[in-house]
Amino acid sequence: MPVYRRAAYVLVGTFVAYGVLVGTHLGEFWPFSIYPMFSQGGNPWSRAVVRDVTGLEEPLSWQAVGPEGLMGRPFATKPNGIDPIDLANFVSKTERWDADRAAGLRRMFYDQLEGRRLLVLRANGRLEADSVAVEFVPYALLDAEGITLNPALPR
Amino acid sequence: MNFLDNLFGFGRDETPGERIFFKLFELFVVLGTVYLAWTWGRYTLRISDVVLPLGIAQYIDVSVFFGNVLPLVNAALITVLLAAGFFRVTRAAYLLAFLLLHVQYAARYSLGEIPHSANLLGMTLLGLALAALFFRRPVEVRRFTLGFTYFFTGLGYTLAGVSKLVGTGVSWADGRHLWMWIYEKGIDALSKTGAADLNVLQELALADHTVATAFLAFGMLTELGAWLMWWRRFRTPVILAVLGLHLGIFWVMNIMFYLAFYELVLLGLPWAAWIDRARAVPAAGRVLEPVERFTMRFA
Repeated sequence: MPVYRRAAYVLVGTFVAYGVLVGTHLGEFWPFSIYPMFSQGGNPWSRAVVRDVTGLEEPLSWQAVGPEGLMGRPFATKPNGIDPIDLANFVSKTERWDADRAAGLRRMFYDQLEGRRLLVLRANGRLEADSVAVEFVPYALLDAEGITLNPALPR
Repeated sequence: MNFLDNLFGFGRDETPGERIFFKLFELFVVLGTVYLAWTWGRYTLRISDVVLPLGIAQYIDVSVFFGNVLPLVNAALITVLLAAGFFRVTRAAYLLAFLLLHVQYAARYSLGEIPHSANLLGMTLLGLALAALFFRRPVEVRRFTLGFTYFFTGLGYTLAGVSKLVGTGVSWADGRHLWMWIYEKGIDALSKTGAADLNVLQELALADHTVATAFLAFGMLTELGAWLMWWRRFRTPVILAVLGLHLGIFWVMNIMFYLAFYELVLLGLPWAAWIDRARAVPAAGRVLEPVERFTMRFA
């Protein structure tokens, strides 16, 4: 078979496989993708942050706060081996906080909890007229003993 | 034929510089893939739960990779297969490495994140795999791999632009949307490092809606025009524009796909011609001679 025809067949075959796989798997089948990231402009978003509340004397609140109301000190996830995007997805995409899911969240921090109390918060951002509003909702308090979830989370 | 000739150029004579460049490019893909296999494998040790199954994880239970050393065993297997592909031990090596890497990806990214940072490298590995299986002559293997990579790189960026048109429409380029993403990525930076400061470009975009809109419009147009890299004449300027897009994304949104960026630098600039020119200089020619012999030995 002439080399151009063979190349065309392989290229078209891959292209068809690409189309079928992304068409039947919501646009993603690594390394095939329709690259939908950032395709919806202006939508509200959710991320996650962690605060180190070790030794904090004031009582913890489960109420949502603005950036100025964050308790404790920042806890950097990356140097502690935790991917912030994984954490954000774990927090925002969990629909029911059963025992397994709570244990899964704690496992992400398994080697960071000795002598520490960490508060995981969900950050919600939305467009308000010509500015961006961000609020932080406490989700879980982690320490060497276990995990305490915000009582308002769905179980 | 004109399109295929632009993409693959099977009929063109091959220079020593092209041969040397290709083997170095292949080495980059192999080392990048080894890095991914081990990075993903080590991170999977932290995972205990599937939140969002991706790819093959929708058909097989990837939780068998959790709580044991299987991800590291898989990384080791991928490494051996990549070495076998690079040294031309067996023609199926790259395809097997590609399939195992897909499983490694599915196990690693089961927590909800759908990253695209490794897609370009993954497509190139697939190109190497298919070239090894379907083409006999080394020059055809090289030309097919590069043409395949240019095709799917152009397609990928163009699809990203089309997704934006479908998802939002032309109003996607509204600068306020960039404000949202700057804040979103600022929170990611805060989570990642414990601090988040705005740089000059971010402050400029947040201060002026027109500037923010111009940034997004440039990005969208660059993506929508990326398919032009299928033609040799447009390849370098289009890939340079895509590199500019990535630098803009890095400076404004703190996102950098390092491996993809480096690969685009390799694909976009005329390295082969530069190597040919360097060969003409005696000192550089002496340095390149063993590389050229190696290239011929494992073509």
